[in-house]
Amino acid sequence: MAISCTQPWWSARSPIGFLDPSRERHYSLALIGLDPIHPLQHKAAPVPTLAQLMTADPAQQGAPLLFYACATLTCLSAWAIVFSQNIVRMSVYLLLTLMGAAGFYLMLQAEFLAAVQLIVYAGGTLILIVFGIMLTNKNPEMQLRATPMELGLGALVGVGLAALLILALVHTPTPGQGFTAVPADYQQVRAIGRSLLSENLVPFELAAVLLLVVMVGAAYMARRRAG
Amino acid sequence: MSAQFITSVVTLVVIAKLIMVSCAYLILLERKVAAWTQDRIGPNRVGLSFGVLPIRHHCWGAGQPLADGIKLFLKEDYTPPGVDRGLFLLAPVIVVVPAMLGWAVIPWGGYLGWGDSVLHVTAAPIHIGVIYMLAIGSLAVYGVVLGGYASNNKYSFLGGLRATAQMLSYEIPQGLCVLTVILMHGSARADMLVNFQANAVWNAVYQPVLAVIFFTCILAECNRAPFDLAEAEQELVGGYHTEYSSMKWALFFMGEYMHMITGAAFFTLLFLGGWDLPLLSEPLVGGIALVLLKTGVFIGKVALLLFLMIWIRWTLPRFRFDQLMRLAWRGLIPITLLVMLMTGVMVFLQQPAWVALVGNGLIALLAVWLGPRIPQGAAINRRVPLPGSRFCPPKPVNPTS
Amino acid sequence: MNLASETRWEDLWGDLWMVMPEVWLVVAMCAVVLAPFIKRRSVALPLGVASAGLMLAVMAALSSFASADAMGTVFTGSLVIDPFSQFFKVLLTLFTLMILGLWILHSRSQTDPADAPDFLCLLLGAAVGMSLMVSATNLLVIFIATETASMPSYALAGFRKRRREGSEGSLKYVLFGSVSSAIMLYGMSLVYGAAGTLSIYGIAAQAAAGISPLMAIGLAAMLAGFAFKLSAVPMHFWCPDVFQGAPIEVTTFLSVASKGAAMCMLLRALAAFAAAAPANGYLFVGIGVAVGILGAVTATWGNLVALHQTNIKRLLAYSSISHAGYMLMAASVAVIAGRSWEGGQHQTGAIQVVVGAVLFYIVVYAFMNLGAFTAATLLAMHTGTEDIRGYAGLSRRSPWLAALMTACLLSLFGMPGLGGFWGKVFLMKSMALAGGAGFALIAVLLFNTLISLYYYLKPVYYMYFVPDEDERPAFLPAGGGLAMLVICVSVLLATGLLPNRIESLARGYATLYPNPVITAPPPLETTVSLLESAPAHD
Repeated sequence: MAISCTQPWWSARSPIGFLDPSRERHYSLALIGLDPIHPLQHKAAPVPTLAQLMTADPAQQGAPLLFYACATLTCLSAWAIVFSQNIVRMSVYLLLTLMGAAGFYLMLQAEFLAAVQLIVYAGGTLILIVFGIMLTNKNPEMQLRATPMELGLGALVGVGLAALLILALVHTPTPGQGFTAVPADYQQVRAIGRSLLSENLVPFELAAVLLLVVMVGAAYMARRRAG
Repeated sequence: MSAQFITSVVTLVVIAKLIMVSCAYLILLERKVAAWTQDRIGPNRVGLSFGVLPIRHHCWGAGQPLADGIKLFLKEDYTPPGVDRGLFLLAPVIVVVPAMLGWAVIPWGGYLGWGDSVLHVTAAPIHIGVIYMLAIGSLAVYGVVLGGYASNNKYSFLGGLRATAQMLSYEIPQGLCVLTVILMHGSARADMLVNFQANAVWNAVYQPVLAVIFFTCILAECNRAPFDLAEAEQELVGGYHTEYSSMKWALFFMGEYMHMITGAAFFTLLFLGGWDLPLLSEPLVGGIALVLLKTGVFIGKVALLLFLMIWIRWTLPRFRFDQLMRLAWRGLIPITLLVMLMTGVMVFLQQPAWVALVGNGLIALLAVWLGPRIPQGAAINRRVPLPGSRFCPPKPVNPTS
Repeated sequence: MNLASETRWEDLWGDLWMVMPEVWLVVAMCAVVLAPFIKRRSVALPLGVASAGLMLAVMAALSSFASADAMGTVFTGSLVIDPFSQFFKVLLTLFTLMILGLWILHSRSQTDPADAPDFLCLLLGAAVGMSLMVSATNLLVIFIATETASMPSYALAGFRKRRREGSEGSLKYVLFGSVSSAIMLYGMSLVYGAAGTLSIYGIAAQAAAGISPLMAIGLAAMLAGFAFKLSAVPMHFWCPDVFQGAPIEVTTFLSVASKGAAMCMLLRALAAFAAAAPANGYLFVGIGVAVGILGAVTATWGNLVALHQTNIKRLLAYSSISHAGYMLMAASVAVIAGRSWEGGQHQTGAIQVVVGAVLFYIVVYAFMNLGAFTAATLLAMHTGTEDIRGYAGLSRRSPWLAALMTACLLSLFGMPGLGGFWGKVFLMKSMALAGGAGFALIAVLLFNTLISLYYYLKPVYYMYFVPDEDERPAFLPAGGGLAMLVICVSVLLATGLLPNRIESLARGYATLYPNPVITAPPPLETTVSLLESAPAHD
């Protein structure tokens, strides 16, 4: 029941919107003597991650099933990209690949990453690619055919790389740190935000510089000369 | 089976069914509102008797959706030659599915107290609730693009292109609005956002500019008038769904209404306090009756917003495409960025919320003052001497070469 | 498990003062873009802003030598500020200033005034990327800095949109660049997966404990990315086309600044690996051997192809490929000689000798290349040809220009008395540290120098010994260009006559930030599967 209300910059039930969830507190409920059950304080109702939700109870069989579903989706659509000859279809398969990868992120409890993957790649980059293809290509139904030479070379490189990677994977010992569970109350969005503004501040800010320069360059390249 | 799992499934099934049915009636409402706006009566012939039941009253046309549905099912499902069959089939599905996926994270009825535990009346109470909504929303554009592409029709293609540019452009201010709300409350969890608003005041009160912008973006995202350029019938016949018929067309049609519902629910969640009504928010966790009441409040808010959307559609004329783009890139995005910056500074300095209202007002004034003063640049509809265009006809081919 | 970071932004505020050179460059870059809002179609304003920013950056970089406090790691270890990086930043910003001079000389009249801010912004953006490349100690920063340096370069290479070769070169550059970036990024992901850290010091420590095959593949893929920036041999195809098609000031910038930055970045990574070298890690030495072989192949291939070039820009492009090869060969020694094979004793100072030699070489190479390209520019402006056969009889038409250009070319070859000679001598001296492998490298270097004599002398031959059949008139090149040439040649003479002073100076600046002590990795936690990790739901 006892809820301490140390209020530095706002008071209970005052029309103030900006709250800090780490300083969770209750308002009129405490004042009128009702025992408030708040989901953040109630130990029995942590918000599960989506992976936990999907694998939660139904016989605990969800996770491997989910993994194989994602893996099949990713691999099959990746194959389809290579073997498709229609560039718009390729982009659809690429969308499926990206969604499969997002599924992996979900299973690894990196929900934010999964959402960002969809927003940035599926919703942004890929659709811009499709847009670009449709706008620039005289004939978007253009068929891409590889010559047998190219096919052979590509297959050689691909098989070689795959063999190398599989060999490497087999011979590589488990990495130093084992996988650890994400704590139930782990706020990943907050952690990512903090990391971007502390440890990874330089790449974060540098990315802004990069985008500015690229924008200037692209605008220059796209500009039609006046007169 | 955990209690939460059962709650999730029940919520999912109930809400999905409810929305499916209400979609049909939304179409009736659309026609009715259109009729009222234009001083007509609207559909009122099809009652509920269907020639069988002993209901003599016309029921204000309540049987119309069912009749429409039967009609659509029985229509010939024609696939024109030359289409990309797989994508042609896939496109309507992609339109509908993201809209439905969005319902999963919306906290329809707050929390249900069940014995010792607190259950979320949400299909998937996840951490990144509203970000998930954004992510799913960004997939919807594929349906329109692929439908336009696969139809093998120039008008469809143009409609698809228009829709892509429009949705991409309006996703940016929409995402910025969501980010600002997250910034204000320090959480991306849908239920927490509602809690915060229930404990204080709805966000729409403190960030009216943001709310208006977000509502505009929702209209644009579901291709509703005045943003329905992708299917502008005067210019593009039917836009991206010109070549569709029967149930495939119906899916496009329903997808639009589902997007409306999802968007309205998103708006309610972010700006109208979700299930919160001033007297209702006190017990945060309650029994089934309270949950049903709260769900009713949520759905009522959504219904009001839907009515507003329909009203807007029959009131405002359609934008021209360059106006549409200018609105997004020169209007909404800078304003939203300003609001976001202001909110960030406020949160950093821990200012009380009324400052946000003042800031919103100032930004709105600034936008109104500055808007007409920004140079418009060159005329948009100038002649573009692109090779092959009508301003620059192709040179006659030399027969010898 | 420490998932949440404890760093607060207040702690990072002070670090900003240590990266002032970059800050000034970024400020100038933004100001240049905004300049047209103050005065439309003005070239002087953005040019002035850019020069001011560059000068401030030079001063900021110089001032960091004043106190020892200004050195160290900043931004939680993503960047390192040490004499090496600051020296390169001074060099880079001064060089960029000279590029601005070259641009005024050559391209300003041909550039639409409205395009000047774009050019300057791109140039400054590339400079920001390059100066951060030198300081980067973190794979993420390495990648983004490399991209920040590359992306504007793509646009700069095609800056003359009307020229067909320019567009072709730019397109090739973009395609090669994006593919090699992808390869590099893939390699980084593998390395990160194998080492569990993004810091190059952490990776070096992990590699010292044993290079897993996954990490080896990752490192090789990363090397491919570096090789692209250095235009080392399997990734060099873009280089001649870009150099030929780009405006000459851009060519000069790319040939020196871009390669220098990539070289310094590679050196820092190799030095980190060398310093972490284990007592007996033959696989570890393999990294050095791989770099050495890459360098040897690059140098030889570049020289052989240069033999039958007739366009001066293509000739200099292949020459720059071979010079990158020389530097790579020397850099490989940092790892090979980092530990002696027999005694198990760490050769103290070996890294510093190598880094000093390469740094000296970069300085000399910057000036001789700048000189050669400036001379080629002046010639192209007055004779309208980039073909070396058009240089016939130049010694009579413009004796000063001919003499200065000859000096630069001979320095590129390595004529005693000029800086290039001592550059090669110091490279060989550092190679000798590596024992048997080093002597092989020295042999390759000498062989290549002999080959290069032919094509460096070819323009000289045309200038001095082939009479001009068209009887073209004598001319006096533009004063500014001549002044720049004189500066370059006097630097070459100074380095050629006082090599020891300058080499010891360079070696003084070759002090790299030492590898931080890597605490032992935490004990292996029991691997928890996803299923176990999901807590029971209620």
